[in-house]
Amino acid sequence: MRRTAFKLALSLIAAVCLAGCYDKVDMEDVSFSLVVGIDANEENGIRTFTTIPVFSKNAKKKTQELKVEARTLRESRDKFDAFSIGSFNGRKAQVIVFSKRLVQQVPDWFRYVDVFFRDGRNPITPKLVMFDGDLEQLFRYQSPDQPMLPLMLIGMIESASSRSESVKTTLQELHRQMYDPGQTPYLAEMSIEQDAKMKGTALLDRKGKYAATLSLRETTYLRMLQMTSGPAVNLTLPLPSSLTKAPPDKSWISLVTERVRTRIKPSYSGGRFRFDVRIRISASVIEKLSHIDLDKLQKQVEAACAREIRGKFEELIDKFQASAVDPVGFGIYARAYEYAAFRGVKDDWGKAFSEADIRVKVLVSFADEGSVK
Amino acid sequence: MKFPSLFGQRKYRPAKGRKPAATAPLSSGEEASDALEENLGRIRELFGDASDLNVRRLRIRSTGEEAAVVYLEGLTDKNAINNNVLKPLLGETDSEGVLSVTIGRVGWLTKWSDIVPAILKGKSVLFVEGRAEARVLGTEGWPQRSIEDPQLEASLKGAHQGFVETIEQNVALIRRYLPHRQLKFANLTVGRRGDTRVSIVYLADVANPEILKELEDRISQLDVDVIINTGELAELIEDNPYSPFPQLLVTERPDAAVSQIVQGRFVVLVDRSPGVLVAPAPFTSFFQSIDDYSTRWSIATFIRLLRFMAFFVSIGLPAFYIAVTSFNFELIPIKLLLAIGEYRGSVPFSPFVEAIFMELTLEMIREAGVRLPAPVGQTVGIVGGIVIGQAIVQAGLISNLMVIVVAFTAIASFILPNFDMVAAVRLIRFSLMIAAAMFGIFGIMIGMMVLIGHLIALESLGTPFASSFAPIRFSDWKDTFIRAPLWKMGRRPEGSRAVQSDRQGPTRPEGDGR
Amino acid sequence: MKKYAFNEITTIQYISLINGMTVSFGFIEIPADLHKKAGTGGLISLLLGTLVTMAASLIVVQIMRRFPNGTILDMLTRRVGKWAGRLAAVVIAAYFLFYGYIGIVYSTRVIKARVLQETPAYITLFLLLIPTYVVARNGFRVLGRYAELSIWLSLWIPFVFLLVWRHTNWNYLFPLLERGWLPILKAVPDTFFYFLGFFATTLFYPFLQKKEKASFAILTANGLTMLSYLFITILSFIFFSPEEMKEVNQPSIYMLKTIELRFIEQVEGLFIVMYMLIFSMSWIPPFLLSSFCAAWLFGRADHRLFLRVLMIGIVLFSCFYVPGLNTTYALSDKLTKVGTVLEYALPVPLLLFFMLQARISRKRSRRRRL
Repeated sequence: MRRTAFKLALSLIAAVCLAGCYDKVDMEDVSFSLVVGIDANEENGIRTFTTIPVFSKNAKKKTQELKVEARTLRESRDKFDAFSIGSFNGRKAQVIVFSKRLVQQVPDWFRYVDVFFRDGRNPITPKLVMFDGDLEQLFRYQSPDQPMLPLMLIGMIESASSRSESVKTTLQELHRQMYDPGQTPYLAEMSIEQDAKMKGTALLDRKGKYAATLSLRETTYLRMLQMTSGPAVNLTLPLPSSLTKAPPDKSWISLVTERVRTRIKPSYSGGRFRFDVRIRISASVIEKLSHIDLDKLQKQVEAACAREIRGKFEELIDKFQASAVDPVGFGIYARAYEYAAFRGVKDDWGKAFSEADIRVKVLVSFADEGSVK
Repeated sequence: MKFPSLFGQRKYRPAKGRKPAATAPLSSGEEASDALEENLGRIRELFGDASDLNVRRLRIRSTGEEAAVVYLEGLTDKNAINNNVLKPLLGETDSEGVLSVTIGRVGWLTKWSDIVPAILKGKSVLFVEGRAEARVLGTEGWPQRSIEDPQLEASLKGAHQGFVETIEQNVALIRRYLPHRQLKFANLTVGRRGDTRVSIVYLADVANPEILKELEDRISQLDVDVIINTGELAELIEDNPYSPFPQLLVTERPDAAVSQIVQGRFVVLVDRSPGVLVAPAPFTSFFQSIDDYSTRWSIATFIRLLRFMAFFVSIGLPAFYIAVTSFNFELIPIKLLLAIGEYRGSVPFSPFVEAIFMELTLEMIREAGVRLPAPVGQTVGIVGGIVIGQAIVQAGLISNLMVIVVAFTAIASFILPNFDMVAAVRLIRFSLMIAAAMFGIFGIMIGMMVLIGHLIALESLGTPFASSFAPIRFSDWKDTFIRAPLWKMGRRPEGSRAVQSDRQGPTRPEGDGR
Repeated sequence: MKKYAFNEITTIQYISLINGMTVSFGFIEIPADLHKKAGTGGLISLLLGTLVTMAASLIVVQIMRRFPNGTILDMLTRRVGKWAGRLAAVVIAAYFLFYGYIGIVYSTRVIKARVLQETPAYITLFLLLIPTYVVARNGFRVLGRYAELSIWLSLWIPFVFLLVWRHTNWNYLFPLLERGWLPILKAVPDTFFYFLGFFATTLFYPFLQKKEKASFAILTANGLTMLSYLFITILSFIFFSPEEMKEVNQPSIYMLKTIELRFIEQVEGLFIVMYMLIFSMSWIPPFLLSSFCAAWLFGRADHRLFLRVLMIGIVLFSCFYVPGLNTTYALSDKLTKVGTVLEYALPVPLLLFFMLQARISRKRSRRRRL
């Protein structure tokens, strides 16, 4: 009995062994789609682009760029397969580039990336970029002093984001922003002017449609509001001439933040939301052009900086309210603490937000004035 | 000691009564006669034409009796025979009818079935005309090796005496460490033809009597021709001989053996073999080295953890390489992926073939190095390292990364202190590679689960092999995964099931005593 | 009478067994389920569910204390009648078979969807049965060791999940009572599914080394189960925005997918595979228990024959049909219903019955003495 059972088990295992290897595909036989570009085409479908690395020592060019027209991403994969050397595979996608045209013109364009969420083996961590221009231009862009396109894009997004000058929205984060009624989506924006460069942050409205662009500088303030700014944000601010006793073009001061704490307090009264935003910045002085004595006038300089920064914040928030977008997520606070009121405006938070009363208060304190007087 | 379990675990089968008829023309009751010639004739008959049999006829000077000393040439100490047997017999001595020889161990035997084995074991036998009994003289002296550093288990700070092939010497080596009257020896004889002396050493007031009984039972039930080596005995009395894991520890070091005895375990000495068995041996004991106790506890702990890590690297790394290059490449970071892709792009084989090829090559190099004499052995290293390692990559047959993986695996397996465990690791590595080649990381996981399932079901002499982690015994962790400071190890490990567990007193706890 | 000597389960092993059986794949499913039924207030439902479960498992232990050297089957035979024991054996065997089958099919489906997409499901299922047999054939003692080792080897899981911390936002947790108390209370019975398995105590009990600690152990096991659920639920609730939660299946795996490490990317496949140790607790013990009941029914001491039959049966059946994920969910709904009756409801009248019986027999004996 024991022996027969053993034999039976062994032959079963052997059978499985013979039947195994279904999912096996050796790495060098795979064409990894590292960058996926999605553009709208003229026939209500999409034009997709991709970059795949070529694993061959003999090949001069290390990547292969492809372009197909399709109705869905999955369909485009089948079409790509015809062009690529190995079996085409999106499991290693690093960056997804949307054209500005797609984001601007195609309603519900977010549905096109559904395959990344639904297919259990696809990643949801590719970084997202909106490209202002023709995607063809980006995918054909090849600068001799730059690494291959996927690495270049990753590097640019990462470094701009770590300096808080842009955002690193991944697919998963976009998914959250898309479904969160108290927030509107945003993603990094780039363009090509002579060289590829980061342009800032593209703000989208509740439906995902393009609404506005924030410059690199403005993005810094957005990140501070979101409390996602890195530890060291550079701020260069003008001081009033009355204080510095110097002409305006010599009155600049540069700060590096050490710690930014943002508190948002929501309240609701008279059919209107109100948010008290209190931002405390502790920063080091890294540069000043005037001869102002920081020891004596520290309080005044701090206050002047705070005023200046507050102005920037207010400008930024005005911009949000004008476009009825809420990338900061004020709505999340409204939902958490003023749920009864929020429930009524849940489906059109952008509008409610644009009518909200937002009061910003900024406190700046210097932690260090540098190694010279 | 056997657990009669509900679910009927693997039955330890007792030896079946299939003794063949003795071929020697020697009945057990036959006794020596009083005629010398008859006896010598019988001896010649029994031994046939054994060329090393020596019969020295003589006349005892003091009594004038005819006599003969019979012994095997190579197994006896010539000095003792010449000076302590022949000289007194031939020379002038007191004569009161007692055969006086100056030998420590003497005795009288009458039965041939006792006399013959005595001769075969190196004793000399004195027959005297007119006496129906033979004088047996302990004149054993066979070729011996001097006590040397153990080969397989070198140690930096430990003692430099290893066990040798003579059981008496080995007993002496153990006694030197533990001159205590509770150190007991249970002697058994194994082997139909070999008559191998086997001795179980333990501390009578500490070790668990149930385990002793089980051990004695298993050894005494053996019915084999001869036991040449301790490894044979280990395989014959193991709980599960089908397992890749060694369930009994073999060591050549007296200090290691004694350390195990003190922990409440048993040590089995086998005559003619320099290795001794340690039982019961839990899985973790294969990761300990005697040096752990003589180095500082913090570094010993680090090294022990390193060994366990090396164990996993050694069984799993090539399999993991196969899995990530053929199945789960999404695990590889993008930059590494591009680099590996570049290497792999020019290699004609699939990762599995590549890995199997390199691992087999490694095994061959290792096996070649073991048997070759030292001067030639170095050549193997050069051939293996430079010719195969370097050339194979340049020829584009194997990718760089694979060579790195193989080298890393090899280094990891060298860290493990026990040879038998390394052998097990090598086997498991190949099975995991096959599993990985079929189902990627899922295959590895299934392999690991089977391994875990097997490991926890194993027993070493009825005690759990995976003791200290399944079942969890936190107090044993002090001397398994880590090596706690000595003053913290006040109790003997639970895994050895000692009946008396108090190892040391709290008199001087630690440091400067404050 | 010590019928089941030498198969002893230590207290830690017992805690691990119950905890492993109850948690297993619940860890993947519970956040979405709670959120669907009660929003973020599901946390409260979870706590209430734990309290009910603790009470129910204490009742089970109380029953078993009345007959410490036998399983519930022996007990029913002795106190109620032969047919009762047999009926119970059939019911419990079927119940645990069903329980284990759902567990293994669910795991197969997860593997199929996330790791081995092209491998046929029955092969995956068959592979999972190999370690099952290796462990289960050796009986309760080895099962106990397996349980504690699996839990022990899975302690890294919470730490991995903490890597998603930077994506979390505590504001998503509020308001807790979004839809009032009613949905929260209504969701309590639905949490029972995630606690099913403590009933195994009725079979483990005679094997326990320290029976006096059984109540403590089962409360600890339930407590640990609650802690693990609480951990993953809170983490999911602060990770997903409330609306997004409705869009995501298996939120725990989704969270894993967002982890990016320097030396390894897209780790979810690896972690799911390593998580199989815990997953396997949802079918290895039940299959063993099921074959144990079958062996008891036929009066055999060796359960391995039944285990083999069970496994071969599952393999053959799976060659033709492996349920899809949605069917599995439907099956688990059925299991919830059956389990609620068997594990939560039935023990109460049973305990009352035994108490009554004890009182009557005491009275009778007193009367006889008089």
